[in-house]
Amino acid sequence: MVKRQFFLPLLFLFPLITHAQNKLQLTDISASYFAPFAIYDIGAKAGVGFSYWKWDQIKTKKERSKTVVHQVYFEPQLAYFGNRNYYYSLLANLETGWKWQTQGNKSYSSLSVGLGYLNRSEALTLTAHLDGSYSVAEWENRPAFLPSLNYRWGIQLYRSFGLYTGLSYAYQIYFQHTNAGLLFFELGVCYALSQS
Amino acid sequence: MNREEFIKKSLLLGVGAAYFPSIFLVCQKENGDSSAASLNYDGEVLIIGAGAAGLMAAYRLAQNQIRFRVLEASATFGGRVKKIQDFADFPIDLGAEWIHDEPTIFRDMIRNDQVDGSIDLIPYNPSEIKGWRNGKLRNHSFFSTFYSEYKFKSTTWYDFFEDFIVPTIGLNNMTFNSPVNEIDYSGNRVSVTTTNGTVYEADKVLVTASINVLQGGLISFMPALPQSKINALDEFYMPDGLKVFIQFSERFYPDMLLMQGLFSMLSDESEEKIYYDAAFKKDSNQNILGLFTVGPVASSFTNMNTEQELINAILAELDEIFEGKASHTYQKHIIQNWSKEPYVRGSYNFEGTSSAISEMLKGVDGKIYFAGEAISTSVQATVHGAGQSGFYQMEELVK
Repeated sequence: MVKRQFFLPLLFLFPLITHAQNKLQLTDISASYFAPFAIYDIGAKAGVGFSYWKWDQIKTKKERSKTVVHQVYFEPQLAYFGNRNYYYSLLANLETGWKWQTQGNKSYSSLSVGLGYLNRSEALTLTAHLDGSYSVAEWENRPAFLPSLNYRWGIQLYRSFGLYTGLSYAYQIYFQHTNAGLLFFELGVCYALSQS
Repeated sequence: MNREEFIKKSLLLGVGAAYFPSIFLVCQKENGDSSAASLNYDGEVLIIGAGAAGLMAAYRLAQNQIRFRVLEASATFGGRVKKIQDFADFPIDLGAEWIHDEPTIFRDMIRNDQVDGSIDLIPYNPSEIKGWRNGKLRNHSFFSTFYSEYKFKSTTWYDFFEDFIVPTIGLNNMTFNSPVNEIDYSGNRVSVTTTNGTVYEADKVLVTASINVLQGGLISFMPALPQSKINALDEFYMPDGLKVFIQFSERFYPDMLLMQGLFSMLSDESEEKIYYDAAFKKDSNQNILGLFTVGPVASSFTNMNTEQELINAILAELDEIFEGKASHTYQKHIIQNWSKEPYVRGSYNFEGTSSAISEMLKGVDGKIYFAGEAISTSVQATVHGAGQSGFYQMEELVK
């Protein structure tokens, strides 16, 4: 009910909605390279997408009309990223957003907000052996919340398979350490389980 | 990520073009395997300077049973590697402190499979980074992702040399308090005279004095060095350098405080000024703030006449940033003014081109050789770069 109220104003933004449905539906699974600032740290993310609310919108421009398919979705995700010898982070995240795709176009876009629980394991001591080997000897766990704002652009290469890229700005809110922003870059593959 | 990696990755992103000369030098990095060619030489070698380059040169000669002696101007070995044990509840590096490479460098420096042991390090990636610009304290903590190096956990660079390098050299092969002021290589052998009048003779001499000592003419050469060598020497720039450690009763500062813009810090390495939590990830209950500064920005401090004047200026600067908390919680300090160290005279080197480095690495008359961080072909301005310079220059020397 709350979600409906939240998205109700969206209805007025669209000139004509031809078809709408409210149904929870598993839509896709995705896996991606996912890292703060693209290459400085490395990581991976996997998610499962659920469509919650879908509607079509007919847009007319210069006597030509096209249908844009909108959906409100949410996506639980698990991610890992880190920098060997310094830290690694595990993230459980939930994104909720709005995805739109023009019928006939292979590309789509989405905007979403996320809220995650992050556990950053910080290396406190690294032992360097004189034979050249080294390993982290002491870790410290640093839990944090991670709200985020996300943009994704994707393209369906085949009927069920697509690629996507995305940018996310997230803010690490630590319980006991200094808060800091992060800009994530994402490049992934997506497999559609049902047609949207 | 250390500076070297950062530069490489910046280049990948297309934002690090200014670093190309540094990359060029990095590409010449020596092989990092654990073996080193054995050396054969019947003559006697004098090494001037017991800093990282001199020590590693002596270490290699000792490993190969080649006769040598190290002449050191000051009262101890280390050069710009120096520590104080009793200022805080952990030993503090008064000179070189960070490890600007992977932890394998210790194996690469020791190069002896018989030596067993380990060194505890701190993965150094300060998470709370702030910048002070135009009278405002700004949050730069996102920069933490880009920055990672290593530091010693409960030891220092000095301890590394003392524990793993000096025992092989032998203290009895080092003569301290012996500043060299003349090197005469006009004869078959080289005569080296110290300021106290003692003359040492050797077949070959390795000079590891700092660039500012050489540029300042503290050591005279007979005959004079070739013009090409003098020209190459003039290309190097070794600016002022200072480190200060202050103990406070409370911690009011971030992990790292940049006193210049991020871009200017990254684009101009020859000028740097940072305050940093010296106890970061150390086993310490004390609040120790470090100041590290090199370049023209350091000169305003290094040129001050008294220590009191200097610490007053630093506390005033910190008070302005942290609303008077510095003076209020100040307990004690220690200052290491490298510009005023008579046998160092500065921080470390910049601007040596690859051609200048190549020229400096050439022997003079097959008798005089040079080594040091300035002419490292691996990484300039680092301890391990200096060490590798001395270590590898021995191959040239014994030819």
